[in-house]
Amino acid sequence: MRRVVFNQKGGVGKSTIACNLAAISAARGRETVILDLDPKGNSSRYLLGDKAEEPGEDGAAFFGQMLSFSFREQPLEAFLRPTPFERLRILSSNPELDELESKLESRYKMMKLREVLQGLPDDTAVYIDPPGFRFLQPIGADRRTNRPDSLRVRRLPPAGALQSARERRRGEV
Amino acid sequence: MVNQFQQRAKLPRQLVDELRSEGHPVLDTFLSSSVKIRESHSLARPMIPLDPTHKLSRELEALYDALDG
Repeated sequence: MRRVVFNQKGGVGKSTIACNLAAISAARGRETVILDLDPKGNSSRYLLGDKAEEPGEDGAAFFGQMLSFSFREQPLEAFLRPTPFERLRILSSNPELDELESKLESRYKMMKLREVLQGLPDDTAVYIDPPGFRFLQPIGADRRTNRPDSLRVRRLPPAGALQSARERRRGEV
Repeated sequence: MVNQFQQRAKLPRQLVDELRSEGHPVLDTFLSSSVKIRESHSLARPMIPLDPTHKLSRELEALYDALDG
């Protein structure tokens, strides 16, 4: 079971909803993992409190290994932190995620997240709090695997970008 | 998902109706606006461990059931 809570606009409760649904899942007896992929780290602070700031395994360490050459990558589970709530673990955020995610995106490595999730036990519930200002867009098919269910993370054009392009064109005419 | 919903105000209901009439999928479970959620964040405790009988906790459980029931 995989759930992504996403929204373009910030401050509408994305992290709040993701964390609370994950907490319910765990309270009902399911092993549950929440991935805080938002560099702002609201979910991490919500579930870990001040401990979210403590150094340790987190999303930056996890994605960092994807970008570096290593013979043996550690599985996602090695980067999860326990929360005070039974059966609920978190991939904690880190401000460095912003830069790392852009790099991963440009190298099409974001796809690897899907593989990584498939490596978790089937009965583990996964909730994803994606970065704001990006959009998880289902695409027709993954060009490489040709699977229809893949998700691609892409950065939205900045607000007004389309309009200014139009204005530029008009200026040329 | 409708969040921070204000039951007594007219406009939020109208907006939801509009979204539905335009064919957007809107879940039936609305999450009410509540000051309790600030307390929840401040104490770093989600609603269920914090106050399982609170209205918002029940709404969150209903939302969970709607998604996974």
